[in-house]
Amino acid sequence: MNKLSRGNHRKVAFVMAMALVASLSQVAPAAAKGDDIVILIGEKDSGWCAQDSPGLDQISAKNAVAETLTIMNEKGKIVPYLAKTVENSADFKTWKFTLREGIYFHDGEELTAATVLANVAANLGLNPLIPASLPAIAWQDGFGGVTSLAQFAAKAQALGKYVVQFNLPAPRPLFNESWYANGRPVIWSTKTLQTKACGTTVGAGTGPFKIRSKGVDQFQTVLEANPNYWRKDAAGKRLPKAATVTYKVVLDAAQRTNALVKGQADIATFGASSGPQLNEMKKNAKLVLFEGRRDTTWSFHMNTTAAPFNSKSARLAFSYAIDREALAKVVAKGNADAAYCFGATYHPYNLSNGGKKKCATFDLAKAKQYVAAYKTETGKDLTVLLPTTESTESAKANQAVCNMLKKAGAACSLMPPVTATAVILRGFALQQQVSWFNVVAGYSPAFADLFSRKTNLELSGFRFTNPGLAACFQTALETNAAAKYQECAAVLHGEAYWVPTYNEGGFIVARNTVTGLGETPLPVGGKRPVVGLSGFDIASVKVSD
Amino acid sequence: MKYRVALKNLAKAVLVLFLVTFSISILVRWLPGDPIEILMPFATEEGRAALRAELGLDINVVQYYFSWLFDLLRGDFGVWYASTGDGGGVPVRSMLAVALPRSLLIMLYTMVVSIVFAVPLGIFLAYRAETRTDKTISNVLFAVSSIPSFAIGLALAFVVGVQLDLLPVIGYVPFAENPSEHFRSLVMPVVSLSIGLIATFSRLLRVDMIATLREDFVTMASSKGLSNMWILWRHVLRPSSSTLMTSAALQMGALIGGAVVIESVFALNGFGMLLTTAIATRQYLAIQSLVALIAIAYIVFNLIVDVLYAVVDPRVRGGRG
Amino acid sequence: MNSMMSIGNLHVRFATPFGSLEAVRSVDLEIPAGASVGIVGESGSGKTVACRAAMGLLSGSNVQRDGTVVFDGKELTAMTREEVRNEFGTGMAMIFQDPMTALNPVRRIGTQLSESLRLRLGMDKKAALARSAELLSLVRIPDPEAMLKKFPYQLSGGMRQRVMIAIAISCNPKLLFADEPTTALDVTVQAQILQLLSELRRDLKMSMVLITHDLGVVANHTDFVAVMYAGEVVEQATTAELFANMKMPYTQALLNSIPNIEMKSGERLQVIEGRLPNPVDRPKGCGFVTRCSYAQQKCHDEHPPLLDAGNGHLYRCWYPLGHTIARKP
Ligand SMILES: Nc1ncnc2c1ncn2[C@@H]1O[C@H](COP(=O)(O)OP(=O)(O)OP(=O)(O)O)[C@@H](O)[C@H]1O
Ligand code: SF4
Ligand SMILES: [Mg+2]
Repeated sequence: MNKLSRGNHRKVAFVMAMALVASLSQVAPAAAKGDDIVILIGEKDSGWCAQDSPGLDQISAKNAVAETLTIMNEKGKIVPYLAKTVENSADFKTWKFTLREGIYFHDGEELTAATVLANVAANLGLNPLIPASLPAIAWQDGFGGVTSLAQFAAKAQALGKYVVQFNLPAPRPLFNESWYANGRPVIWSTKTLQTKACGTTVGAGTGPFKIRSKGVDQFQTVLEANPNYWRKDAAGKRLPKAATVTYKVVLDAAQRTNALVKGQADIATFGASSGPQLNEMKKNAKLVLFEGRRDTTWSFHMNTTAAPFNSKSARLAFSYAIDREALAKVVAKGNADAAYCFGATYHPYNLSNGGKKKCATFDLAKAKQYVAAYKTETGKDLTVLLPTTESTESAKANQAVCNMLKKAGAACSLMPPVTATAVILRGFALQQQVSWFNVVAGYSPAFADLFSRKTNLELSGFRFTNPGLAACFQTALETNAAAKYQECAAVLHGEAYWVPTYNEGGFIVARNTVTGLGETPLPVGGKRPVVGLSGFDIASVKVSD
Repeated sequence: MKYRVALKNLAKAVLVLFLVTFSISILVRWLPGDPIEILMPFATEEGRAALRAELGLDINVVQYYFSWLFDLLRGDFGVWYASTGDGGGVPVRSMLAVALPRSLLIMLYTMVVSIVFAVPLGIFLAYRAETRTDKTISNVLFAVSSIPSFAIGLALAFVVGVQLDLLPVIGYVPFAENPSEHFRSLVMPVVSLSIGLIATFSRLLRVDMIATLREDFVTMASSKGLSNMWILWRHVLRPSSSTLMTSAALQMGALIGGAVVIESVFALNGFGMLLTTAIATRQYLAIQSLVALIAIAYIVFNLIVDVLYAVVDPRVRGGRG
Repeated sequence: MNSMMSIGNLHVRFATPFGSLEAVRSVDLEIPAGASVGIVGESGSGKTVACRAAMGLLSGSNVQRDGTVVFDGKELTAMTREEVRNEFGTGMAMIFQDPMTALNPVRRIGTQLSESLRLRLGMDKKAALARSAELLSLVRIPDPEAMLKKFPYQLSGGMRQRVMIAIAISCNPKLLFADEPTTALDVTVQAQILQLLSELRRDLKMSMVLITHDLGVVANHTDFVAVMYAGEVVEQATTAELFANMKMPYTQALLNSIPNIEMKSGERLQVIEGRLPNPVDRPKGCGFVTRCSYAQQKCHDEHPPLLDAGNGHLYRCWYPLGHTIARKP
């Protein structure tokens, strides 16, 4: 009789076990093959508007949908893209963009001079529906601070259906680069502009893929092939090659690795801080790694409005205390370089003199000296509080920095971890002593602008009041003279406003079944880098079985 | 007189809801940083003023609270501001429609799995109380309950997902889309969340069962010649389960918003993720609505447990005799 | 006379934080088939422990039981737990002392009553419930059908006690231990219950061990009596002999403490002046010595052995009572 009860329990357990086995034994469907590509990215979609600052991950998706007038080729040179030619006057004040003909947006609109003007106006904040944006800061400046459509119309006209000309009040030698800005100022169709959504949920660009769906929770973006895409492959065949591309957000680098190894995804992106995973994947014959040029500099950005880093001694102590070689190892396990100078080596800001000179150095004796100087100045011990994000990498890296500071005699502790976004936002809001994040030190004049103009961005994130520096950068901007850039960068370093730590390039890792990465030719010849500052080109990508 | 008790409970629930949501209104304002600066760093002055008005930063918190409350009661959970900075965005409700069912299902499965394993284990340990088996297993359980769920999750993903190639390591599949894939996609997350709970629950049950085993009615039951199993399951379990149920109710609430790490590891993107992002990006309205939902969840789960108490212990039903 | 149960040299020790507590020491007891044996003694004297130990109901790692118990020709003390369990319900049953705690508070009366029938006698659910109702009417519970659906908390103490009796007799046990079946009850109810038990015993041909404080109960409902004090049997005889030739000062003291009708139910008895000896650290002489008006020096120094008055009347006293006490009606 006792069996009665026991038997029942056994039956339940048996049924449950069977259900489990049944569900387990059903083999996982292989990753989408052939025409459907799954790409894992480590960053949530923060929006595709020009002022959003997506990293490598999101910008790839955005640039698969919408494109820029100019683009950077694999040699780091800005070349025309949606524009067929870009011409400028000798004084860099008149710029003429001639568009390619026969390019259509996903919603059927043809790309014309009028569309481009609408986009500029929108990005300038002149279209009341569209807010100002980061590249717009550069444009605002370039146009001499236009505030109305009428003023704008005097400076930008269509010279024909496909020709736009800009008349700038001051020389802007790098105006063509403003139209690339690492893939941010894309050209949307006029209708898209009117939705104000800039592709956040819907949007028509000219890119190889169009938006099929964007998850309302921003974790999944599905794109489908644009049958009327304008570029062709090297053999003159139609692009894109894949039918759909799904971008999925997987925040955990180890899980991106796992999914890739397993075949749940075809491509995934990684930062250098995923060093352990990268090194592991390098050994996996099924995977191929591509690394971008190491031109993204992770720097500490000092909050110069508050103690302790309103003191130059404190900033210098910090800068001298950091052993960058050691830090690069801790952070990236061999997947990043120590960074001493501000900006990538090819950049005019870069003071390294071809890599020989070290602009900021690790010098423990000097660090100690400045810690002492800070004490004499303020009567207080130098106490540093570093923000951390929830990732284990962040804790490790910041702990390493803390240890270095402690060796120099400063006190240091970590703030309770928050999300990566929160660290950046709190940095902007000047609620931290420092923020440690990456700045793509590309050619962008917008970048010099950060220092030269009192913009919202400056107010938010990079505030330091140094009129001399601002003036210096303003001149550099107008002359594009290397000597001037170097002069400004020297001030930046001398004051240790920013403390470079390491340089990384983005990584993308693909299964060896993936073909066509970085193979699409650019219309003016050459190619885009496989991994560039605006992501990677997926127009030619296909997955074989 | 039962409806009076029900009314009293309802009044209590409403009061709790009010206190929670109202204090959140205040606390949200205490979050460091100007939300305008964070929500729309590049906005124009007009844009800022508009958002300021919309977030009720200009009016006092009481006024603001009630306007939020009336919106909520009308089913309007507020707007998730897009960084376009024009005050536009996605309704929080549509984001909830994606995130909430996932989190509820994960919570449900986790609870079922945890209880199904914890109860026999707890019974076994109580039955073997103070023997070497009990001591060994109890110590192991204590250790297990302190392993963070994400560590278990990552280990599982590597071993079961990659090495054995049995289960997907990322992603969520809705039941309606593919039932078997739905379960497969949740096996590892649910197991990761359950292991700690199994340890906690079985230890709670063990303690209560040991106390119940000392009761006279248990000796009485054995004097009737009933088997140990029968006695443990039919006589001892129910009177020993109140701590377990209370704890389960709390864990149910906690799992709704607190499974964020596991959601992140397995790319499930449920409610926890939504809330974390809302806080990080100062989505005032969303934070408040989400927290209100969590409070409601706690209250509902507690009500459910109150009902369960009554099922399990008839004395509760009739008022203590 | 056949023996129903024979208990030989029973010892029960509990390991406690204060040391080993010997709750039952060297108890010998014979329960003849069909007879009713009373065990009397004040609270804490070891009556319950002795009976539970005899049945094999004491469990736990802190319990040590020694001695032999032979039940119905089978040596329980040599059997496995499972084998002993097979005797429960059908062979031996016990009415627990406290009706408030001995019924499972979360299960219906019907379930608790019918489960023995189903599990021990193999009845199906319906038959078991029908039989349960019969059993309830047998113990004079009005409207037994309704009672089946009730929970213990809905019942008065007397009703619970009746339910316990019904459970105990449900499988027709040969031997019934009734552990103070009336202590918690009203005096009028007490009489009814005792009457009921006696009738049931007669009708069902059970042997019975009736545990009580109350010598009056013993006088009316038992054939044999064992008086326990501090874990020992201190006097043992047929009921008639005991009341005719009471030997122990302790038994006499118990007799003097019989509750009278005016006492309210539940009121604690004023039993005997003084307290039981510390069970962990016993005096070396007679355990009753500090409370006994007949005590001499010898009582302090030497533990009295169990002596036989010649007619099977056993007592444990150096200076037994010499006079006769009139039997109470
Ligand atoms: N599980 C146990 N652990 C330790 N000591 C116990 C245990 N059970 C009983 N005792 C002790 O054994 C002694 C005898 O207890 P028992 O319950 O048999 O007394 P009793 O004669 O039935 O008294 P009452 O009339 O109050 O029921 C007491 O001192 C009691 O404290
Ligand atoms: S032995 Fe002595 S003390 Fe003990 S009961 Fe007899 S007379 Fe009293
Ligand atoms: Mg007792």
